[in-house]
Amino acid sequence: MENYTFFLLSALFAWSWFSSSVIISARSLVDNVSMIKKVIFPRHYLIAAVILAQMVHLLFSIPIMLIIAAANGVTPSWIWFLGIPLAIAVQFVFTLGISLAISICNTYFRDIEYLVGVLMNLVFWMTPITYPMSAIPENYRFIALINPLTSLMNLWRSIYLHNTISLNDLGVASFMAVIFLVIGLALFRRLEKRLDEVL
Amino acid sequence: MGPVIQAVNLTKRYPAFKSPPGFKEWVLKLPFAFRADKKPLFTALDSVSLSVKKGECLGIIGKNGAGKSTLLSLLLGTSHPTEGTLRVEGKRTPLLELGAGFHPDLTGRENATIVAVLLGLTRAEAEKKMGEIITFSEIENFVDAPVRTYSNGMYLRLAFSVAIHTAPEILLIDEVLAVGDESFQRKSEAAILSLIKSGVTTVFVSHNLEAVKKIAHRVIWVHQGKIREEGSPETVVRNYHQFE
Repeated sequence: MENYTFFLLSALFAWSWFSSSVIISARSLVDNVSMIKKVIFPRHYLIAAVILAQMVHLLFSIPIMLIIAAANGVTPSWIWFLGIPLAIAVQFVFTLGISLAISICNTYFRDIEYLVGVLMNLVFWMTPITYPMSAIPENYRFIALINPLTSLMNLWRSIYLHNTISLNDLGVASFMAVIFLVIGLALFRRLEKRLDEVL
Repeated sequence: MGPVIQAVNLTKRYPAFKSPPGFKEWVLKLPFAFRADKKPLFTALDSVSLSVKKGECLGIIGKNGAGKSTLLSLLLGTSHPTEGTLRVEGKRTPLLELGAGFHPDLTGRENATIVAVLLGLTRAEAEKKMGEIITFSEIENFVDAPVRTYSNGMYLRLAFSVAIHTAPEILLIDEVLAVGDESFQRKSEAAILSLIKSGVTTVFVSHNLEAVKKIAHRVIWVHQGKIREEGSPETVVRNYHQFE
């Protein structure tokens, strides 16, 4: 494949934001015991803060993508201004849902944070990041489409590589993001009531 | 005027073994989950009812492990009762563990702002009060140094000063009047007393019976998760002394 660096980085930066957010926020409730036990504040802010802090890394990657795009003969259009904030918003919602669920479960079962570290590797290779969707045999492509990260990564790719917003991927990714946020929030709300008993 | 804090039959049970098994063990045990062996529970509070009027200072005394701090954390809302109902009207300001929420690498000023916001002020209000907070805490020369360089006393003084300057409505105090040297202790006691006088409702947990007698209007003696006696500070403290 030509332009492999461009191809890889177009999804890899977004993936790093996702994986570091989930891995760090898995610990963030357990690490802030003293605050959780002594101060009242909405606990999900702790998780949102981790994801926003990790987003800074992603923002710094955008100039890099500009340079690499230019080097590969792609001229960023106004689509970037629209598409990147949109992709960030969708990914934020999705990551928040996953992180809320994982972080609250980690207070009940403390070994979940280690499982997350291992599973994250598995998910990385199961998501089309280092390889394109077309590399998967057609019969098995539906497996990749079950993976909610696939459409998200394809969305990022469509913006960076092709200067378009893939509406199909945007729709699927947003839908998945909202579903995961609802599940994550419901789980979090339910389990945080007994947070003081398990921390 | 109705009570600001109204608790009816509060009961709090904790799992007796605090370290939960991991997810791995849980999955491995899943086939046997139906033979549910009842997990032993520890009852920290056993149907406690109390009410506090606006502007009243309620003292809570009792031995270690009697349930005083559990009661306070229920009133604060950081834990939820297993049974019973609790109604609290107004902003709750905890003075439990001083310095909760401080970040060691931020300066005293930054930490004070963050904690003030955590305790319910807006950022602008917090910055406006900063002068008062710093003067009261007596750390003028060090406010712009990171708090990890602070001595223990400076740290606690700053945390105490922030908490009492956030316009509390309900103050929940757990044994924190013994902050700093004698002159600062006198000063913080005076500050608390003036807050109480200005109509702040206070719940005050302490082993310092003299302070309880001086500050509280009414005292509850908690023993083994139950209210053993309730009444005027002098009577309850005297009976508590005899019991000891």
